[in-house]
Amino acid sequence: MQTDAGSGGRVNTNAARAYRRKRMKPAAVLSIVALLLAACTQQASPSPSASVASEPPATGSPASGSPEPTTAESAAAGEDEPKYGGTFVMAVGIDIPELDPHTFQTFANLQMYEAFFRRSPTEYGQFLPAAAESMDVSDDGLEYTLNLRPGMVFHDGSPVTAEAVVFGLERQADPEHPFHQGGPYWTDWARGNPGVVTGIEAVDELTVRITLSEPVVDIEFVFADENGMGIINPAVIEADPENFGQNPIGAGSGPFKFEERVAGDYVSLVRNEEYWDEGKPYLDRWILKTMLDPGARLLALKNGDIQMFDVSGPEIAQLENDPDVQLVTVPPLFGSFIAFDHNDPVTGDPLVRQAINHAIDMESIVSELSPFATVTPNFGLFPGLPGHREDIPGYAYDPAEAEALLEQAGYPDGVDLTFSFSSPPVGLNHQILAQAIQAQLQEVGFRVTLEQVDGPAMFESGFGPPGREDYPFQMALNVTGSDGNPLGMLAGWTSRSNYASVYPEYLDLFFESVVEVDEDARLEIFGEMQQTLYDDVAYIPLAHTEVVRAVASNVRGIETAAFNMGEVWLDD
Amino acid sequence: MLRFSLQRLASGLLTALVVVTATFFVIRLVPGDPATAMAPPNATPAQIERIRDYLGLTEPLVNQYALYLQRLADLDFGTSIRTGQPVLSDLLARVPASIELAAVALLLQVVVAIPVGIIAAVRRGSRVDYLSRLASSVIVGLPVFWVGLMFLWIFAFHLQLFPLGGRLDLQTRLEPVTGFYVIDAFLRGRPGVALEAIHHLILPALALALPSIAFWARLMRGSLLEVLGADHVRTARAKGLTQRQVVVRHGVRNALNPMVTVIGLELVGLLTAAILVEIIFSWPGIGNYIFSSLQVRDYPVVQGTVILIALLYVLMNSLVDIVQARLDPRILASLQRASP
Repeated sequence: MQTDAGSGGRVNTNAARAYRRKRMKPAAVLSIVALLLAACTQQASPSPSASVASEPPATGSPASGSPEPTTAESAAAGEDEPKYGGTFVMAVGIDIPELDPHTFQTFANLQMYEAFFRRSPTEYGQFLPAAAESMDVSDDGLEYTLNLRPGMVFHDGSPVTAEAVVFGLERQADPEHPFHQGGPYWTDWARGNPGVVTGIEAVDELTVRITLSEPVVDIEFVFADENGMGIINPAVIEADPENFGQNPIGAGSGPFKFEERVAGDYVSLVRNEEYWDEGKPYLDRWILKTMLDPGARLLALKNGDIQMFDVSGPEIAQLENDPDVQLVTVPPLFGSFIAFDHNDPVTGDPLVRQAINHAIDMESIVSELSPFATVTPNFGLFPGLPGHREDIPGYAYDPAEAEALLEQAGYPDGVDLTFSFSSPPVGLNHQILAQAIQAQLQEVGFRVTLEQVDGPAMFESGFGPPGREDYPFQMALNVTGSDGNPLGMLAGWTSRSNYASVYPEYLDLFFESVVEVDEDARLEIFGEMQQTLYDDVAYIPLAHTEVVRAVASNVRGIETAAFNMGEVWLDD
Repeated sequence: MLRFSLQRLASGLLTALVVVTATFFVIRLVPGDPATAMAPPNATPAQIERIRDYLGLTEPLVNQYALYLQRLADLDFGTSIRTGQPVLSDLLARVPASIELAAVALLLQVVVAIPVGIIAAVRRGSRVDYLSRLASSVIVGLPVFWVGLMFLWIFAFHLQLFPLGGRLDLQTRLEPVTGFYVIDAFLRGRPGVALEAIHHLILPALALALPSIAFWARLMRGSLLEVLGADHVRTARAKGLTQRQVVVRHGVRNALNPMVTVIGLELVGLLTAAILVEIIFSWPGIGNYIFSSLQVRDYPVVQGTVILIALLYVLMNSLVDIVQARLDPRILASLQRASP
């Protein structure tokens, strides 16, 4: 199998650039938006792909920045024989409105609907084959052939065919499709790139071919996105097109079958005896329960009523030494960074930004944020992501240098800064972070006013069209996420502030990379982009963490499964 | 009496119109495009376009308003951005859980607060009076979410006397009929499940009821004391009635009058107060729903719920007036004098 086979050659970048500028919605940007949003609602997040299944990893090493699970190691299931049976309850802080994977993302969808590929729980940018055994990509990057797994059946016993897959792809992509219900993923990607998908066809019973008019180099992200790309049984949609998401009996082909949903309360799934991965799942029943209060979730976990929930901030410290609980980290990554208004007379000066960077000592703050947080060493890509440049050092903590730079910038007596922050629902505690940074900046002569803004305002400020010209804050603390797609993360820096409009060379590199079908050449451009971000002091990277999950101590297989509850079992 | 009732309902309807009109204009006073303001932060242009179409934003304001009223009259509260379902059907699926909780809380309030208030008033200055006043001063000040969390912590987690939330145990399956689980369990011939539902109801209902119990007990005490000092009670005593007859027939009945206002409004108030209790006790009612919707700025849901609660308030207010007039002829007479 191959993805970026052959040299491919460089596409006319000027034409591509003009075209991209017009449509302004590369899949990569959407992927990150979707990722953050999914995470904001405390759901499982979809995942992009840099490479798929058995293909050799690009630079795919485990995220070196992410710390090892603490007690999870002691629970490593290696030596034990998995046990069958039991009910597993996961609590989430949101009411689950429906179970149509094309329109709403929930963790339950991952268990019910099989997608082409499943993301690797341990390696960023790596995928495992699921409904598709393999994928072939034409040399020009315009034709993708998905080879479906033979013998797979939906939960009502009918076979999973190429025709059913095409039905689902068209349902999402085509607003005129009789069963179209909207949906943010494949649909928007296809519509944001008008005409780029020129064909979706069932070649034979088990082969699906998708044809593009132009290469979209991170298209695997779309295909491997389990949430949005779960294969749905067309017969179930046709039987009740409006309400199928409320009661999707027989709709999927994943490890668990839909049993019951009580509005606002829970979704209950039971073991799929016909699952293609023989012997799995181990659990009899898997339940996704709405529990909005973090305190109640904690008590329920300790009481044995639930087996898992995602934790953040202060709860982590509370649970760290709890013998009843194992803490496990899973993708995606969330990182905090500082963004600047590059048109501002003060923060528009690279010397000032560099001074700020030298004045911040993240090493001294990071342990206060979370035991699972790591200092983000440099610019552009999290460590562990394909293409990450380990050789770019970042600007080290050096207050003397900061003071000198500030003087050189023309502010020997210091300068006023307004530092805006909010409390994001994911990632690290920004209140602590903002205050710590404020104190450190004061040390070298900055006079920093902290300004707390509401979450949605900060969230929205981080998304604009690539190359936007405005940015609402002088200096702001924001959060970005990555599920392993380097293009997605690098795309983010074109729109998280007005950086790319002031430094258009970054934008040019970005537009070059999105059509570069040769992987090595693309990774090289990624390297240049990181160098550019560093040279320009475009943003200041601070610290990052994976999602931390609190799991009951008798749960096994969770650290190697992460998203696929088919691998999970309960010990006595 | 009929005329008075109709008058009350008509004026209630007018109030309702003011409420829904205010809701209509608020979103249009927000600077910028109402469709963008209503859309969640992650809305796609297509979603915003759909909202624009739905609101009729290309039409003149008068037409938009007419369209809005027409929809409300048809009980069309819009479509949730998050769920893609009509807001009303989403709300109706969750309303029984909230009403069941509020009704049990109300019942607890009546059963506990009124007797405590009566005893405290009759034995004014006694130890019972003193203790009940002390307890109610403390309890009234307690925030409901704190009470809920403490209940959960003490009675459910440590003492294991009650479940940690939810309406039934997760392994219990009950095919709903009315949506009120206690009733449904009986209808399905499963008294054991009814007991289980009641077991799940007690703790959240108590947490919800507690601050009001304290408030009501004080109100009842004050009201009864006032009545017991009135002329007609002195006359009743002079007639030689027993203390019990005086208190029950002449005192409590009149003292209940102000309570009716409170009870009527309280039922709706409980539905809103229940939002916090529902969150803490993982209770799948409208509180849970609106909280989840607020997190993603699902504006149609928030607007729909606001209108629904406002309408319920107006309706209860009118009903309270009518019931009060029925209980106390003086009210009817004074109102009739005021508006011939």
